[in-house]
Amino acid sequence: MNDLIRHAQQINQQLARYGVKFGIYKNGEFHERLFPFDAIPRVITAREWDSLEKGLIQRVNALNLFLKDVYGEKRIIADGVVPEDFVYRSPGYLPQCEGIVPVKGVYSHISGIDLVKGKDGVWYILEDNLRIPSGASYPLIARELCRRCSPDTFRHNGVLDNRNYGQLLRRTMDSVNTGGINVVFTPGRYNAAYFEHSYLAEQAGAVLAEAGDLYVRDSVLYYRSTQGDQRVGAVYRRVSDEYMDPLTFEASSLIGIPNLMAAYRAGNVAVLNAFGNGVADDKGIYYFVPKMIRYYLKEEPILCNAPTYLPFYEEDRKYVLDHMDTLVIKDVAEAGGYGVVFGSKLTCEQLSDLRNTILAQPRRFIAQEAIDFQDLPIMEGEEQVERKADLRAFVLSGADETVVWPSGLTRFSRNPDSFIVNSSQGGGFKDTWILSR
Amino acid sequence: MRRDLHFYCDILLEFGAPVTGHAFALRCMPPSFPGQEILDVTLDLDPQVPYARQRDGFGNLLQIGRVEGPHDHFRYTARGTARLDMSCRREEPCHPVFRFPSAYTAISPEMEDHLRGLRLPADPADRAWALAQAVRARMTYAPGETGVATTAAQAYASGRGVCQDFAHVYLALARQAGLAARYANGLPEGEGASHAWCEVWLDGCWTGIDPTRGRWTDEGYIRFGVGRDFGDCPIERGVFLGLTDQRQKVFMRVSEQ
Amino acid sequence: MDTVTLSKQNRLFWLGRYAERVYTTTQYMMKQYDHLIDGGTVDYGTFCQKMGIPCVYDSGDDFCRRYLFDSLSPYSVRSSVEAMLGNGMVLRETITSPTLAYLQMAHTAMELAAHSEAPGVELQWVLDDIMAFRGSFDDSVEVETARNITKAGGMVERISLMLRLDWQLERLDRELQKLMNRLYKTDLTPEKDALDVITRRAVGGEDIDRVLLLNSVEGLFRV
Repeated sequence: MNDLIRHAQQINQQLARYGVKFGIYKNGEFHERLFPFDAIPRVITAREWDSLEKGLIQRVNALNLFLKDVYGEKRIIADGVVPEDFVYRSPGYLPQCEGIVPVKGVYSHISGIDLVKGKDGVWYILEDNLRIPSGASYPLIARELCRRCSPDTFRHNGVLDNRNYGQLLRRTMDSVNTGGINVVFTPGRYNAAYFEHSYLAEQAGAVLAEAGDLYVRDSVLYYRSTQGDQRVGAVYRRVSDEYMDPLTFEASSLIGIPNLMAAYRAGNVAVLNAFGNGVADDKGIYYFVPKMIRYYLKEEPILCNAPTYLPFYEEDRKYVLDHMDTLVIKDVAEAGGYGVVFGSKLTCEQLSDLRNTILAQPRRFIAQEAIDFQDLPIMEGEEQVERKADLRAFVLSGADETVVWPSGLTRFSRNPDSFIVNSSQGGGFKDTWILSR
Repeated sequence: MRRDLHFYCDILLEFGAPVTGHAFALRCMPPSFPGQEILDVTLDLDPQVPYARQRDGFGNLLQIGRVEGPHDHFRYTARGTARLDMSCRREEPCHPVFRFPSAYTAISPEMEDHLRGLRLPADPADRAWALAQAVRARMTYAPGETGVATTAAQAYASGRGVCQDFAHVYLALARQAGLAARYANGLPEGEGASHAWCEVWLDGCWTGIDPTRGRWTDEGYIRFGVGRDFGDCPIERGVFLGLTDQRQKVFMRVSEQ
Repeated sequence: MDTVTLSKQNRLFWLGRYAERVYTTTQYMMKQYDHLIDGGTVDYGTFCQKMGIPCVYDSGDDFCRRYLFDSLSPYSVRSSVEAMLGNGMVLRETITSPTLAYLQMAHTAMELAAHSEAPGVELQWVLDDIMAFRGSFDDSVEVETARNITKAGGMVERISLMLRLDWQLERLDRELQKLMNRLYKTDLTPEKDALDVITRRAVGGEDIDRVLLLNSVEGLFRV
């Protein structure tokens, strides 16, 4: 490990060489930044990983069953496990998807599950990302470069190789492909995650395409190539639902594919991830995921949620209002680290405003106990300091199996006072090692 | 009372300069359901291109296609015969989404105030009727003052609008008042343009009510599409390549044979 | 993956043109820098005229600095490096990550040169990286038509610069013949009139007016 830290500068030079960047918009202008990398990895033992892996597969399988149920029979609502308010008021619920079963019944093919480890050694799920979770490309390329800079480290530590992500992605796409090429669909060069889009396309052996490269004819999706049009069998899209088809969703979208929904509805193309997944990764629905696991799988959840309260329920509302100064309050409509408020940091006036908002719109909020995270060491110049960090695990679900990538994106906050590790808010990332023993 | 009505719906889009790569999604063919039986229907497209038929998530009929090459107009003409009979209506399940606000039908605080002041009857059908009268009392029919993007709250605030706005205001109030209600569009008997009204789920049946005209619908209304609001079931949507202005000419007629 | 979209054709072609433009103009400017050391002058007025760019410079030194490094001018070599990398970035899965890395390195070297007192060393890195890019590109781009589109772009740019700058004109005929050979291995459709002019010179050895030849080379492909 010390060898890795000694080579940190070289590794960062290598990351710059490969253009490992993400884009941000500041004052309306697009800038690309290197994603700061810290050489000290997060290390997860084989035993710990074994239970994480089982728990993640269980959770994602249940979430996939929930999506199938919500857009189909709706048993879980009829049986009173999930209140209908949390489904039909969710902005991620798309009635346009009612009755459509995606190819092979898979909804969330690439799931990014965010976890933190508490000081008590217990892993807690922070949130599920079932729409277009990003970030796998960073640890993927970082591992390649770390091995190059410090081979000894990897000779001696028994770290599971994580460089198979491209193959896993390809296998997932192939398993739902309806007969045609695999495409990664990007909104374009000026998207924050463009590096990732192009890198994953290369790694998965797929074609990278933008809006003008694809079109729908006779309910089939085609890719325009100089050798004539080619049928697309699976599209890993990195554009959100509302912009994907201007004839079904947001009419003003210029980055979508008109009538893609027609090809999807006819079962002629697999769309990864499916439309309408937002209903299952809503901050409000999070509360119900352990219940889903019991309901659909008849199993006890292996991984636990952070203790969560729903002001929607009267009993919880009372608790939340009484303990606002110690809870983390989240606005379910916001994403990317926004809309998260730590009660302990609010003034009396702000607390009272928030209290009124919660009373007026209880469905809009969830409240969680602030978890005492285990901090991770990072290098700040020559000095080692402790910072908050989370882990995004990537779970891939194909037609026949659900697998967890033996790695993940560990993000840390560079600001010692911040609990928010989102890259759009200035955080950095680490490699995540899964040990073979 | 059973009636057979002939319908004719002719819409011409004219472009100032030729456009290409024109993808369209139409909902201009009425479906059959208990109470409305489509005896025959044809659709002509000009330029003549093939189209696929699908059903959307709300059960509406979709006609989907693409005009690839340059064209300066797009015309679609649907015609046929509908057999209408209110006595054939059957109970059907109501999708829960019709009880919740949607993009166009979010309620505003002043609408909530208005609703509170209404003292609505307890019987759902009476309540549905009272709400239609309340919308009529509040809104003035005023063509050209609102657009396709106008929300219920905006239309309510201005007190003016067309059938689409009347329907949206009605839906916002009805859902808030505990009724399951949905947007409907299609052709009423007579000549002119398409029309929008609402359906309320009463005793297990979707029952049409026309807030613009302040009446229950009857065998004079041919329904094309339903949805949470206008955004779910427009008769035509299209995107194409080309910078140009677009004009629309509409002619519709519904008459007894 | 043997598929190239029409939008990719355009990027491949311009990738070739910009890589060549950076390579040739950097070499040219390094010569000018060298000339200034002995107190020589640079006729930047004529240079700008030949290149068809606005002459906004007020001395030989100013020209050497700003033509190379002015990031706000679209005509500077630094802007050409940006454009080269920009085209490369949107072609990653066609040209591969290792190849793209050389463009990224050329970009990094150019940024270092722009901040250097004596940029000659870093400019040499730019040239090294472009040479490495060419080798890697040849080696790793499997789709032959894709490879040839970028090469054709490079040739068009090189001949264009030779004709504009009277640069290495002794190699002109050889370059024209190479372009003719490459032409039919791309999916690009050449403009007929332009092709006629080039053929008359390259195959028939005819003496062609330089402006006509330049316009024909520039107008050979509509990409």
